[in-house]
Amino acid sequence: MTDRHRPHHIVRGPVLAATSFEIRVHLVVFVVLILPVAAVILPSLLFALSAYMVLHLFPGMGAIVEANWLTMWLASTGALLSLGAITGNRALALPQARAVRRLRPPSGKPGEKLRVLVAELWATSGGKPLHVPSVLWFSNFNVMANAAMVGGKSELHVSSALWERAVCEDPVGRGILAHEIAHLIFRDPPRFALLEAAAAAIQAVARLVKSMILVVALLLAGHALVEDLIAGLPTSTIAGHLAAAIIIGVVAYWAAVALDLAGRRYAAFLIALMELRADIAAGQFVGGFEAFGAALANDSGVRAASIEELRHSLLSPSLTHFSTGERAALLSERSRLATPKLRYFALSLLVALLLPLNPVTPLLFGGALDHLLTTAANVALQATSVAMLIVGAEKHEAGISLSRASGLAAALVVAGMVPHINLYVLGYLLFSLAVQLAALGELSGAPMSLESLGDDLATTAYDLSGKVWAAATGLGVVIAIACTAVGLWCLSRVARGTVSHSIESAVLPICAATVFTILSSYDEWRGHLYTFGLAQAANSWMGWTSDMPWLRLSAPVLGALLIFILQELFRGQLNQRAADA
Amino acid sequence: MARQDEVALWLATATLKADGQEIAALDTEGLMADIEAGKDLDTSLEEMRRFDRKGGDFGAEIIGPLLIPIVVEAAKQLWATYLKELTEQGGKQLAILTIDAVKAAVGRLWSDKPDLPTRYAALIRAEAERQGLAADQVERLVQTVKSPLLTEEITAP
Repeated sequence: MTDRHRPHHIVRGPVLAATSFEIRVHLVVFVVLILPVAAVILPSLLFALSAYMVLHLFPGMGAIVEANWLTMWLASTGALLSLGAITGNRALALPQARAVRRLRPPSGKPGEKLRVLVAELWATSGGKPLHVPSVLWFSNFNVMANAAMVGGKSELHVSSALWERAVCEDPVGRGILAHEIAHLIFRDPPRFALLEAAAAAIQAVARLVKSMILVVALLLAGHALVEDLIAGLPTSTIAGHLAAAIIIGVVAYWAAVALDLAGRRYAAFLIALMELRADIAAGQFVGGFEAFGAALANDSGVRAASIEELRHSLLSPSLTHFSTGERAALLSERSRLATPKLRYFALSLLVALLLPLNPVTPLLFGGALDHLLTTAANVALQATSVAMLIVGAEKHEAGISLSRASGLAAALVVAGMVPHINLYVLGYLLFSLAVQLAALGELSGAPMSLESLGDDLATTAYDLSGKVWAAATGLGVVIAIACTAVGLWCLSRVARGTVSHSIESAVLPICAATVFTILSSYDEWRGHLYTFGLAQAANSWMGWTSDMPWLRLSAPVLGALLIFILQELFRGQLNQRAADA
Repeated sequence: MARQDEVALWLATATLKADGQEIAALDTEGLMADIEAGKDLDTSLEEMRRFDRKGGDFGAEIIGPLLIPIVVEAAKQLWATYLKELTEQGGKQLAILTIDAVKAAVGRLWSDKPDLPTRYAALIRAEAERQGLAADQVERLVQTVKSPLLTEEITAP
């Protein structure tokens, strides 16, 4: 943000600063990790693998493709990058294409009143008088508004219904104008465009990979069918081969679906967070976000929340705004605003957990990329929780309640367990089922039967429950949740009592939380990306905590708390010395 | 362009202006521009009901009072059941009259036939109740229709 746009007194608000920080952390995770992995690395591997399987069908091609596997992967990467870039560029041009609304400058006395109101809100928000946004209106019965930056200039687009309400001093109308002004102050419109372009690119790449997987599954099934018919195999064997092709196709297809969902949902979550930040800022501009939330909740024109709206908020990869009821509820509950928006982030964590259900990605680098995604989601959640509690603390506020701290702690502990739960066993079960069907005979020497299927299911369930139990550190999970809850509660109290709770003061605790999260997430089977001595450090950490493994789940918060206390004590000492001097 | 739509929009604009609804009147003027450009009135009204959202919008679905569809519908009904016939009785056939001539004819009728505002008010009341407009807004509109303000708007050159 440039200085001319930066509204100093607003950005310093703790809740706003905490939300801004939440956005930044997730933005970094999205750009550095989610986007490359979900849009390029894994899709290109799936694409190359699909091409590899097709080429293997042709006599004499097997040896050639195996010798040129890297070239194939690089070519796939290039092709998907090009597709993503073209789609993203087209999506960037779309905001202009949306201009089906006939925008006109407001006229007459109401027009003058609207311009004055916008100028007042702009001044309240800390914007410079010279850069007051121009206002344009369009006909619509719904109370709608949009912030845009056209050719570097700020514009507010308001519907006639909003214009009507805003000039009548209606609190919701004023709040909506303030919300749009907040977007301009934070320079959100170009970021929205980039995130939408990234989501469009991810979707286009995923569509291509899904199509490729479908084509390959059909080709393999067709090839097997022809060979079986020529060989005169019995119908049951042919059916088994077809069923195997379908199962392998479905589980491979899931990988593309999961990557699409993971990438687009993360971008959507970021957009929704930026919308929420604009709500908070708007509330501050018009007399408090609690009051704005209450006005929104009590407005008779607001459409009642529906199950569909809730589903969209929790599960949709094209989310842009949380449901209106939820926005009003969030604005009226400060402790939720100043802590991570768990229920909306949950899907990102869940998709990362479910990704290894496919038979491909768990085999790439020993499943390290699958593990990386779960670890990244875990780091993002732990780091934002710590940072938001520090940055969002206010001296005159009570800090988070123990019940809120417990809820947050439970979520953080579950997030800490996720990198240790490898669902590949389920993917392997499906894969082995497919192989058994294909062979209609034996896997590991045992003929396929209902009994063997039952055994396989039981073995998998036992294996999986063992993994979950180990990840939870047995009953240690209860101690972990309790310790994390107390740690969070203390952190918010300590932060409230410190001299400064700026973003800078949160840097060391964030680093501590991140390091402990990475160390505690280490999985010896999938830890191939733990390089430069990190694996050794993680192994040492696992060794030190072998007597109390629950500590690994609490360590990010407890470590951050400890570092924060030490930092503040040291800062206090320095301040005291300076005062004495 | 349907003459009925044109007259209804003109009458609706006059009604809204007389009621002090400047912004809504600008909306109906925009609708008039749409139908002059060949767009269908119902399509334009449907577009005005459309809600969509993307990043950068406020995004909450909040519906404003639907004055315009109510007034336009009442004006359409007034034209269909009464004004059209009376204007035709004036001499020339509607097809060859310009819109300005129709407006002038309606303006004269408005002054000459005191039951016209009453009929229009009744149509507005019925339509407003059907579309669920708040009672105070209905009463305000009805009073406006019966007031000399609307006559002034309609008979203004």
